[in-house]
Amino acid sequence: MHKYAATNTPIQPASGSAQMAKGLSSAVSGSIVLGAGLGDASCCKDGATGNVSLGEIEKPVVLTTLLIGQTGVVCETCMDKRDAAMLRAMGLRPQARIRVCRMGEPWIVEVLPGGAGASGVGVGKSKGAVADSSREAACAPAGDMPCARAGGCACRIGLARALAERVLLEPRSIRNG
Amino acid sequence: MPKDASTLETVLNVRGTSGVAAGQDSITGGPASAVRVALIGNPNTGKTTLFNRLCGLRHKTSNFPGTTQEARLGYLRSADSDANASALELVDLPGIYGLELDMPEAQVCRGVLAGSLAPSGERAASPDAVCVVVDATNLSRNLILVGEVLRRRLPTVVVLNMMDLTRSRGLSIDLALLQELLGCKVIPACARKGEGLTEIRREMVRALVPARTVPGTLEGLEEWADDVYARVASAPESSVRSWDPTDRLDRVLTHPVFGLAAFVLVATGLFYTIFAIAGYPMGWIESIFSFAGGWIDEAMAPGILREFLVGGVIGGVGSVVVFLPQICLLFFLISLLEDTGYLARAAFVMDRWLRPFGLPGHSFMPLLSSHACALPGIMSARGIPDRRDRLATILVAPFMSCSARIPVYVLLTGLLFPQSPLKQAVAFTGCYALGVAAGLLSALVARRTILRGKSRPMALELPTYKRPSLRTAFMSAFDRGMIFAKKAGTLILAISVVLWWMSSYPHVQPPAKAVEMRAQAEVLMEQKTGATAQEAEVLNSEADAMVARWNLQRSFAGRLGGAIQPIFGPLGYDWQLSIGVMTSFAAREVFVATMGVIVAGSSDTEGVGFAQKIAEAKRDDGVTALLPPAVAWSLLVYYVLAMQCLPTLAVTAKEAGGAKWALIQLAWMCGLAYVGALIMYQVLK
Repeated sequence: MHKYAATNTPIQPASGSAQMAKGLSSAVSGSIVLGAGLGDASCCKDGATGNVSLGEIEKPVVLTTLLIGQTGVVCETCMDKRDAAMLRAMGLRPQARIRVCRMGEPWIVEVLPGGAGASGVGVGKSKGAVADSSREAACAPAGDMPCARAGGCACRIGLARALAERVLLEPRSIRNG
Repeated sequence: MPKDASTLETVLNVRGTSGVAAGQDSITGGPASAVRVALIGNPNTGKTTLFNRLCGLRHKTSNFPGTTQEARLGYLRSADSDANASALELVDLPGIYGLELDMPEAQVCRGVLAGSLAPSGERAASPDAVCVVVDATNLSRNLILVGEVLRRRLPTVVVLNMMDLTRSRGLSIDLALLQELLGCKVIPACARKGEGLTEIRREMVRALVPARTVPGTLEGLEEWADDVYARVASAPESSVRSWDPTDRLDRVLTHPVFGLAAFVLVATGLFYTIFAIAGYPMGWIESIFSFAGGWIDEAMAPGILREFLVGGVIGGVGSVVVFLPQICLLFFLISLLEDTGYLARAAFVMDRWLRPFGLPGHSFMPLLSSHACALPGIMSARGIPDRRDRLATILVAPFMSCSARIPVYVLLTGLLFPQSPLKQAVAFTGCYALGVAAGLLSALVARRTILRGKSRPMALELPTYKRPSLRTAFMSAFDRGMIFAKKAGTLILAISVVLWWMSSYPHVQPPAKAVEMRAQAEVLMEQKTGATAQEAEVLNSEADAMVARWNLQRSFAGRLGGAIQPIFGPLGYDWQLSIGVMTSFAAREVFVATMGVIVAGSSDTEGVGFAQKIAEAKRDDGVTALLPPAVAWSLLVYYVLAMQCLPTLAVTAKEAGGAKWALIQLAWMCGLAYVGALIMYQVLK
């Protein structure tokens, strides 16, 4: 059992850094919208429509509230369409599990391979595991992603604060590193 | 593989293009029947390294028509036996993250794959095959682009590059399964080490139309990529590291203080290397051109042709080609830095400082390079992803004080503070600071007017740190050098010839006084005593100076300078200074040589007493100093801000994608220079 497997319980984001994202957080409703149109800023507001609404559960967590080493699953990005499309193509897409490598300007995140579903069920360890994009899988333990943890097959993206503040994560997917 | 899948090889045999005659794949162009293969991939996948490995120097660089995207077209042969070898034409496409993105790079790739776009001068047709280069250490993300290509139903091969890194990290990829899932050939390779090249060359002509279909929507494609990745990739537990050096390095290199310190160190080292090393080849080039000029001068009879060759062609081109070593070295070093993965981090460090002026962090290296010469600086702005950011950088790059301004700064600060090296140094530094400030403020103005639009926050992939490839760096330097040399041999040559002609013609009769002095000198020479010979030499030299000044004043450039003197009058310039400004329109350093001719009668500006002669020079009234302090300050400000470099304008027009941008640059810089110099003169006079 490697060191990450022991820290799979959901945790609260760092309270000290919560202020950094207060402007955005206040605009975010209590609903989580999975698969909503990336880049459509309206998706972050009350009354947003999306493909699948999971109802009033918890507010999404802004990336900038995470500490170094913490991981989380992206639920949406609320920014200009072109920026969102670019980030999505770079790997920062819904269901992608990311790890915070550096806080501040720039925010550096590692996009762990295979999407949350795939990596959550053990990418690289059990061949033949099929991607499961259900929300349960998205919030599943991310401990067994050895190649990503080794800096092996993950990709690293630097984000200006203005963008990092607009990446929302699923609250129940946050894990300590 | 499905039995009905038609291979490209079959198609080729039908077309009868196998066994293309030797010698057709020359650097100047491939055979018309060559198999065209499009090389596509995400950025940082080693695509360029692979292209260089496959094609070496057998390539040419051009543009995709109607865009500023660079197109590289390489030529090679398939790895079959000589009798069956096919000529291949490799089109290196820009690195992209997705084919459907709303970006110029993606548009180019879409156009090439659809057959509606081809490099300038080439036939537009769908590629015969597509070679997708994939970073094996980042397979999950790269598979999305693979899927987008597979959707196009073109014969495709996938190259899994960087397999050495994959192995060293303990990752493994089931190639057979991947090949089956993708429905096309998958070739493991390590372009850096030359592994897998033979197979790539062989498989390019055997490429298959993919036997599998992939989902049509982006969401479906992402799920498909995740699924494929989950099934083919694996890593042992032992690959887990609790301490990640990349994290540590990133934290230091992007730190506001340490990151900046590291950047200053790297940039200083880079420019020190350029100035220290490039000086030697620059000296050699100068010697070669000087020798060639001298040789023609001696070998040919006096006449227009000799003057044209020596003054126009050799003098003009030589003065530009001399910058070639600086350009090549700069791009060599930048390529090395880029390859290590450092430049992406540096861009973030500088982004904090440049963003308030509407420029991205990417702009820093082009702006810094422009302090050596604006030409490579502008050319290196190609790496800036956003069009508006790129244009803003190109427009303001010439504000940075290039090495051609140094002789002017030295002359004028020396005149202003003849007895105080410290004040000279402060004024010199002030010139550089003024240039930077003007550049940044101009960028801000541009971004709020002609380049209005939301400044896009920076998002960059931070590539893995790795040892740079010397081969790639050499190829990059070679490419840039060739582009510059081509320009020097065409447009810059034409400009040089025109300016030489304007400052040398028409030929006029020498002034009577000079004729009289030469006659006196001849008489003295006939007396054949040491003292008279010396006296004759002085007389001859004075007569030469008088003739040179006379000729320049009556040349087309001189007349033009005289005609425009009323424009420069409010800045305090008389006709002599106006001619200096006019002739240095081609290149700033020409101002010093022109003043040498006008004031001292010789273009030798390094001779003893040159500065003294300039300081003591008078205007036509014989009383007023030519360069009083107010005028010297005004000139200094003018030369810091003005666009006085035709080659830079030519490169701006090319890199920005139209003469309109060069004209805007010219008008803005000269306008700002005029106003700045006017204020300076009017306040100080």
